[in-house]
Amino acid sequence: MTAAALLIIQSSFATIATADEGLETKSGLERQGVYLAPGWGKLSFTAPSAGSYELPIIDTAAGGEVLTSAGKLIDLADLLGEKISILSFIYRTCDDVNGCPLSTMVLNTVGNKISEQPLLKDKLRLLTLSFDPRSDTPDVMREYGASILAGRDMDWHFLTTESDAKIQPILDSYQQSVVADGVSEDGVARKFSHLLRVYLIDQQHRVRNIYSLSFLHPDILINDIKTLLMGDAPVIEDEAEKQ
Amino acid sequence: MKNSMRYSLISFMFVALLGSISTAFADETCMSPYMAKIVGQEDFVYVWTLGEKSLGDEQDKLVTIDVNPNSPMYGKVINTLSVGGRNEAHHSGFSDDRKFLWAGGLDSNKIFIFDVHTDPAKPVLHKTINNFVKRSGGVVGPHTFYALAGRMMITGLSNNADHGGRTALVEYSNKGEYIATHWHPTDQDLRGATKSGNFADGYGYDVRVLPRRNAMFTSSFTGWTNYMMDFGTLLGDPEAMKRFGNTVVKWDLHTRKPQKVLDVPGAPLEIRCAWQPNHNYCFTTTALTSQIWLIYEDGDGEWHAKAVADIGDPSKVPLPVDISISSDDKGLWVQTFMDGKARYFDISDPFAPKQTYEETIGSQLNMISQSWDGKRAYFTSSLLNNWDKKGDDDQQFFKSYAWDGSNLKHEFTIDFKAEKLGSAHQMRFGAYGLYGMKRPYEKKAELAAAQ
Repeated sequence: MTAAALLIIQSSFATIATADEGLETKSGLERQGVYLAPGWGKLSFTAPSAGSYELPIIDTAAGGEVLTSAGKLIDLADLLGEKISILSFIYRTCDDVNGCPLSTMVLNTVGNKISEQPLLKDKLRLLTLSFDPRSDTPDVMREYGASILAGRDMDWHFLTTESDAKIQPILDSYQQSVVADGVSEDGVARKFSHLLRVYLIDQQHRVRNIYSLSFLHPDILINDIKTLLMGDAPVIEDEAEKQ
Repeated sequence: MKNSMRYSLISFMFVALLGSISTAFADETCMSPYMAKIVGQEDFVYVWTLGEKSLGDEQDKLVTIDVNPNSPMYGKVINTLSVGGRNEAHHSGFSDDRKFLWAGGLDSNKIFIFDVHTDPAKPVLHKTINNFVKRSGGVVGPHTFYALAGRMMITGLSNNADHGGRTALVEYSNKGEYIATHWHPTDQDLRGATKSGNFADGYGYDVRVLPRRNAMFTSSFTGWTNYMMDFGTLLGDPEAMKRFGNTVVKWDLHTRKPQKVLDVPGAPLEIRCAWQPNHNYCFTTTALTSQIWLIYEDGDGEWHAKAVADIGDPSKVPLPVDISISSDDKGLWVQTFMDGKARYFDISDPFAPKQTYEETIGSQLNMISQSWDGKRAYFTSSLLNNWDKKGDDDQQFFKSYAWDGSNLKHEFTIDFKAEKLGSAHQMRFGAYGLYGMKRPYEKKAELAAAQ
C-alpha cells in the first residue's frame, strides 16, 4: 500500500506498509504494532482556545468542474461560500491508516461534534474529493459516502471528477501533491503517494488553514472553525466559550 | 542495491511515532518535519552559493552536484544556475511538497524560488520575490526557510528602520504570496510572552518546531549592520559587539504567538530538535560563547534553557556555526568556523554532551548536511561574504565524507574557487525518486538489459 500521508513506506516500515485496517479503532491497530497519527487519539497538548488567535488568509479557494455522487456536473466553487467548508482530497482505495482514512475519520468526528451544537450545526460543510477518477466513479463515491454517513443527515459531499484531466487543475490550484505509484494490469492507477492535506475554507472562498498529519485533529479543527465563526458572527462566541 | 535504489519519503511524525524502530535512521540534516524526506541515497546536493567579485560570472548561483556513487557524473558539478547578481546568498529550504527550493539573499532581501521537481538534475528559477521588505512591514534579511503545511515560515535577521537586530518571522504561502508577519517579543512589547530572564531583545535567526508539543522555537543573531560589516572591523568595535542576540523564544506553533523568552546569551544560531517521541528538547549553540545549550521541557510542561557543554576552548572563540542532530538523538555534529573543525558530540544524555571526535575539514568551515542514514556527511566553507577569511585561508569548497560512526573518510572535494563558482554555503538534497522518476542511467541500463 502507499502511505498517503507521508508517502512511500518501505523496508523497515513493512508492518505499516502492509496494514489494511481502514477505520479500525486505535486500540486494535496498536495491538498490531501500527503507530497512529495524533488525529486518532487524544491531542498531546491542549488545543488553543477558539478566538484566542487569528487565522490569516492563505490563498483563494479554487473551484473546478466536479461530479457529485449523483453524477451531476457542478463547479466546486458553488459548494464553497455558503458555509465554512473543510475540503479533503482522497482516493477510495487508500488504505494507509494515517492517510485518507485519517482525514475521513477527522472530518466525521468534526461533523458529529458540530452537529451537536445548535448554533454551529448549519455553519459547516464537509467536502471529500477523489483524485482517482478512474476508479472513484460517482457510484463508488456514493457508496463510500453512504457507508460513512450510515443514515445520518450531515452536509457532507463526496465528489469526484470526470477524468484525470479534470482533477489535475484542481490539485494544482490547491498545490495538493499527488504521485501515481503504480498502475494495475487493467491500466487503472490505484496507488498514489500524496502529502496529506486538509483545507479550511471560509465563507468568502478563502483558505484559512491547511492541515497535515501533525495538526489534523478534531480538537484543532473545531476550534479553528469556531475562531472563524467568532470573527464573522459574535453571537457564536457565547456558545464557543461554553465548549 | 543497498543504497542506490531505495528511497522513502517519510514525515517527522512517522519517525516520531515509530521511535522504537527508527534507530537506524539519522535525520537528513535538519529538514522540516512537515516535509517528505530522502531516506536512502540522495542523487544531488544543491549548494546555494555566493558570487565573488572577479570569480567566474560573479553572481550568486545554485550549484547542483551529483553525489550518487552509481552515477557516471558522481562527484561532479552537473549544473549551475546564476540569479543575476550578488545578494549575500545564505540559506535555503524546500517547500513541504519538496517541489520548490526557496533561497534568500540577506543583503538584497530577494527570495529565489527554484523548481527542483520538473528536472531534479537541472533546477530552474520559478519565481523571484522582490518585495519582501515592503510586504512584511519592514523585515530585512530573509534567513531560514522552514516548511509548514502549505506554507513557508521565513525568519528575518533585521529591519529596515535601524538595520539592527529587531526582526520577525514572516509567513508566505507555497505559491509565494505573503500571509503574515510575527514580530519577536521585546522589552517594549512582549506580545503576551513571559520574559524569564534578563533579555527580550527581539532578535531572530533560526526556527524549528516540535509539533507534538505545539511548540516553535526561534534563536537570535544580529542585524544587517553587523552581518554586512567586515568581520575584523566588527570584532574591534565594542559597541557593535553588544548588538548580538541573547535569546531563544518558545512560541505556540498553532497560533504563532510568543509564549516565553529564554536567556541564551552569546548569539544562539542553529536550532535542532530531538526526534524521539518522548524527547521534548532541542539544541542550539552560541556563536560568541561557544557553548551547547539545551532547550527542554520539564515535567510540569515548563520550558527552560541550560548550557550543557563547551565547544572547544571558548576563550579562543572557535565560533560554532552549523549543527546537525542524528535521528536517534545520540549524536550532534558541531562545526566551528575559525578552526575549520567538525566535532561530534555524544548527546545520549542531553544534559551532558561529550565530544568523541573531531576532524579539521578546512581553513574555515560552516555548514554540514548528513544523509538520512548518517553515513554520508557533506561540508561547505562560507559563513558570510564579509566574515569569510582572507587570502589563502579563504578556502571555498564542497567536501564529501563517509562516516562510519567513529571516523570521517574523505571521498571527494570540489574547489569552488578553482571551478570559478563562488563561496559555497548551504546544501540541500535532491533525488529523482521524490517525484516518481527513475534515474536516467538506470533507465538506460534497464533498456539495455531488456534488449
